[in-house]
Amino acid sequence: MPELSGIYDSGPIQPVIKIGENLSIWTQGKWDYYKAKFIEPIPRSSPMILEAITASGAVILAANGTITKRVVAFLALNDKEFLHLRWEPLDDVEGVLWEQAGTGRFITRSVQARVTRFTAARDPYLSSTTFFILGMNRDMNLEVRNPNPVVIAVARFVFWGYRYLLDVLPTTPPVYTSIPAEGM
Amino acid sequence: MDRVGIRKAGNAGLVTTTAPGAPAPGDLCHTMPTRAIAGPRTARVTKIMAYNNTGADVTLLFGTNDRAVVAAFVQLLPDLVAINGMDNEWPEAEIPAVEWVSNEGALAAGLTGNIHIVAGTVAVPVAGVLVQLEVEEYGA
Repeated sequence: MPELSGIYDSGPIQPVIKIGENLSIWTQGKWDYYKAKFIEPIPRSSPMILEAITASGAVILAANGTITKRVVAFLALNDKEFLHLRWEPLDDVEGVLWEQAGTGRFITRSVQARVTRFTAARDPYLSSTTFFILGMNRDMNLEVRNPNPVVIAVARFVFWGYRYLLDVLPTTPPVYTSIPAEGM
Repeated sequence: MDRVGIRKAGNAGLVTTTAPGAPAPGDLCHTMPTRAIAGPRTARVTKIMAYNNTGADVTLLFGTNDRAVVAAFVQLLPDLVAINGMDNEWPEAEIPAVEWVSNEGALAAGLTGNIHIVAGTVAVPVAGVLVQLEVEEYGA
């Protein structure tokens, strides 16, 4: 029986389960089941800042320019690891989230929402930016857009949240919390 | 609930006024995203600092370019007088909440959202006044 997780509640980020509890995680078109054997926080701090212009090999982001989507290397995981993150830009740029390169997140039928400097204005804990990454080679990709008609030199994004270590469950457990780690 | 914006320095940086021929378009202090790129944004000037060492007091006119007539200056704030030899400062409380509006389509470059300054008068601009703005942009 899935439990209501409250994963997007409008408060500070908290683990979606306790150690020893079960998860059902959506990736690659199906739900898989896990038990959390360890959880640790990933505090918002300097190693968790991506400077997207340098990471792309460029020195500036052109006026109204785009950095095409690319994997954020420091958010890559080993198998049976699970990241639970929130994020925001530190500069006036917009982030577009993809989970695996082809699946857009935060989408409606016709548009893909972005995370901007304005997002925190009415969502101070950035709960609406919550996303999850499961295991190896299911990385998140970040596309960056400069909305300004001037060149910018810095496009920083910061990430924070929790890392979970998981055991795979061979069968559906009686109680679990469901988490989308990819779009649908 | 009041709107919350993002505070920025004018993205043209520290501006030294020039004296172009009439009609003076003014010198660019700040420019905003266009509707097509980031939805429409507006901006208020929240602080002005100006240093005038031109030898005489100079009026500062803040405005934008006319939507239909490129390079035609339209004044939006009342005249401010930058006293010679002084660092002149106008904080948010002393500036009316005039909002510059990003381009609504007439000009691809978003000129209507540009914040321009003319030192002196439009007919006889004065060069050499140093100006830096702080703005607050509203959008999403």
